[in-house]
Amino acid sequence: MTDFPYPPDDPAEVGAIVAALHTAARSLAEAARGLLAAAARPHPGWQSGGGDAALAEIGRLGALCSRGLAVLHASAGALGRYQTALLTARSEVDGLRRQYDAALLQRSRAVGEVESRPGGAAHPGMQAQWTSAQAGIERSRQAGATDLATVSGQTARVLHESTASLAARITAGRLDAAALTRLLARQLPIWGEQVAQGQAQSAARALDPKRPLTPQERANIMRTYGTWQRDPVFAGALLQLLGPARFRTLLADAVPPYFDPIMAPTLDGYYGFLGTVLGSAPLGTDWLAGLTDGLTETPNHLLRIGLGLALRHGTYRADTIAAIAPPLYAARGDTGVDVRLTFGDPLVGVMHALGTNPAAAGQFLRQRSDRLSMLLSRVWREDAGTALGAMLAAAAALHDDTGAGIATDTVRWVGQHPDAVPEGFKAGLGRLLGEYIDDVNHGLIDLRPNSPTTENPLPTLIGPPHAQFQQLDVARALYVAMQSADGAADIYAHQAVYAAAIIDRQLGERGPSSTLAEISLNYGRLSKIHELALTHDATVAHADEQERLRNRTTWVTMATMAAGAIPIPGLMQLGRLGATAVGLGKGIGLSRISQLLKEKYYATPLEKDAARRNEEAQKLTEAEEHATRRYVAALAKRLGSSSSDVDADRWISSQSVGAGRDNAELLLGGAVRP
Amino acid sequence: MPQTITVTPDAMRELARTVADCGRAAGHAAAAVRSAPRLGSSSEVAGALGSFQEAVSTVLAVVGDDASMCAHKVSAAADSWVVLDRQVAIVSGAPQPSAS
Repeated sequence: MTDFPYPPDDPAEVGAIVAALHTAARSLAEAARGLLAAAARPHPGWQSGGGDAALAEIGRLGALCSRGLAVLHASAGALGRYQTALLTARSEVDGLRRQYDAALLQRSRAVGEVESRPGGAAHPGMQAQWTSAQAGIERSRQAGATDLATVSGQTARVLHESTASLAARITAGRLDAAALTRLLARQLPIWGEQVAQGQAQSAARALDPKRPLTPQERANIMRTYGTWQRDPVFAGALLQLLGPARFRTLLADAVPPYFDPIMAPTLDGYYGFLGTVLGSAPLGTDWLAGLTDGLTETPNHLLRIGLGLALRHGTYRADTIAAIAPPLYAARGDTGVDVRLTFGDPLVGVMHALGTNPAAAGQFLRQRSDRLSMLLSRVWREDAGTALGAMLAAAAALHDDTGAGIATDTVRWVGQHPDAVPEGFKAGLGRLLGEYIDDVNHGLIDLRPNSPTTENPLPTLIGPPHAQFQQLDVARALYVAMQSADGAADIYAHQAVYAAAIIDRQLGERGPSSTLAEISLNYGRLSKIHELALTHDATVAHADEQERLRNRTTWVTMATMAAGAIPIPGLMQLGRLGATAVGLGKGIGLSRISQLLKEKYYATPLEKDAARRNEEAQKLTEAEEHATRRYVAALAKRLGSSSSDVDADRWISSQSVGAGRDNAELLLGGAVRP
Repeated sequence: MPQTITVTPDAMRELARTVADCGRAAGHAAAAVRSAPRLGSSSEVAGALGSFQEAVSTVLAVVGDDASMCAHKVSAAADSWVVLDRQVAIVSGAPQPSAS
């Protein structure tokens, strides 16, 4: 009993909690007062019960705040009492310590007196006195502990009750934010459907095509309903009230006779609203039939363009896009406001809308087997195939039979027409290849009957169905996709994770591994293809400095990233960095590798205006690295693998990587333009 | 008996401000509770306090979000000179639509 510890809780901490609860309570009290006052204020002018109902809900919101206030007050009070009890207990402990010290001193003195007395006999009461003092101190200590336990129990009970009073109103079980939201939605229904329908009524009146308004004036009205455009109740009610005929008029009316950049904000606002509403609304067969009636006919030229402009915005339901896409596709010869101008191509809108619903996109492509090849070989003057690439990547990412078929057919087509691929399509192609990175790796291995490799040594990480890529097709597709910085980023990111997952699986093995040999061969192929793609990019006359800079920084980021996943000695060979780099040997630090790559691919070619460009490159590198990390994290999650690289380099040789690079050059020899 | 129409956009905006203030206040309150210290000891108060703080901050955060959403909608209604209900029209400075 020589130790008298304080109770475990710190009164200062409890005091800080009490202060925080009081701060919260003050804030909430102010809100509750304002809400209750607003609800109680007389509003005699409401024409129907809707306004009163809304005010009643504001009152209920105030009541919720008041209830929260009561809970905060009760808990702060209980904790305040607990803080006082803790302070009392500490001071009692201090007293006990002093009492104990005094008793100890008294006992020492008594012992001293006995020892100094000749033939000293012990004082008969000394031991009894000491024992009694000890017992008294122990009783006081226990009484203090009991008092504290009582207050502590009361405090805990108040806190439990406060928690339960909140939770009991939500569910019998545990409290969660979703349950609370549902509760509030039940308590405050006026903010839901009724309001949305009321807004739709007003919008339908304001937007009636019979009113003589300019597109700019209509766009201004639409902006005031911007809050509601994604609300399915609002969108559905608005389109029903307008009806397909008036909606068609709105679509066709604002199409300009030519495109002037000055109109862009108005057009974006106008068609952005119509498209978002069209995508959000649940629409029946009759309404959709009314919208698409005679859509392919020549006089509906402006309607097709207006509808196409609207389809570039919003996210589409399957039924809606399934009704609209086929007639616009059928009228695909109608490419814009004027055959000489690259503006208003309806199929660009269709591609965007299909891209927002990959299942519907798959179905659209499956309906007619020639659609994919027609879309791939079409001339996309307005967006250079960007929307098509995004749509195909989204549809392929479904990883069902249709998605795998789209990936197979797209890569085959690109392999056969590498020079015909439009610029904008390349980024989407990179995403598509990244999605099927197993099959890209399988495709890169030559598995034909008389090839040196007869069985596929690379394990499959993603389940079936798989795309089937021929070696030359996939090499050319990679070459084309990697001409785009985004495409290369996607491919490298997926490859890095794919390789890391395979390395993970191989770490338990001992001895030479054909799997790792093939992975390093493919890594060499990929890096060489990228290098050749960049060479191509540098020769493209219209690639501006910014784009070239992007590609360089992408290369640096991606190479570093991939190096992180596969720390192979062969990396030295990847960039043909020369004898000094090779001399650094195994175990080279990533930062050093990165530095070497930067010198080769970034610093030297761009040494002029270094400061400005460095700053620019830093921004780009950060943006790309961020994007890459997201992709890597997503794929790693799907693969369910951690990217451990310990000891991986033992089984991967620089010779394999070099052989892969040589092989890639051979493969693409015929496809690469000088 | 026909009722007069007296609801104005200004009244709506004031209502929106009140509700928005509530959202902000609830948000501040949630932040205060969330940032309060947690007792690190093994006492029964520490356990009860942890659950309490979590529950209160969750409730207040949801109330704050909900109030903000309400305020946004009321404000949008005021901006577009329409009132909460399709049967309620505006008189102040706007052409009076026919009551449906």
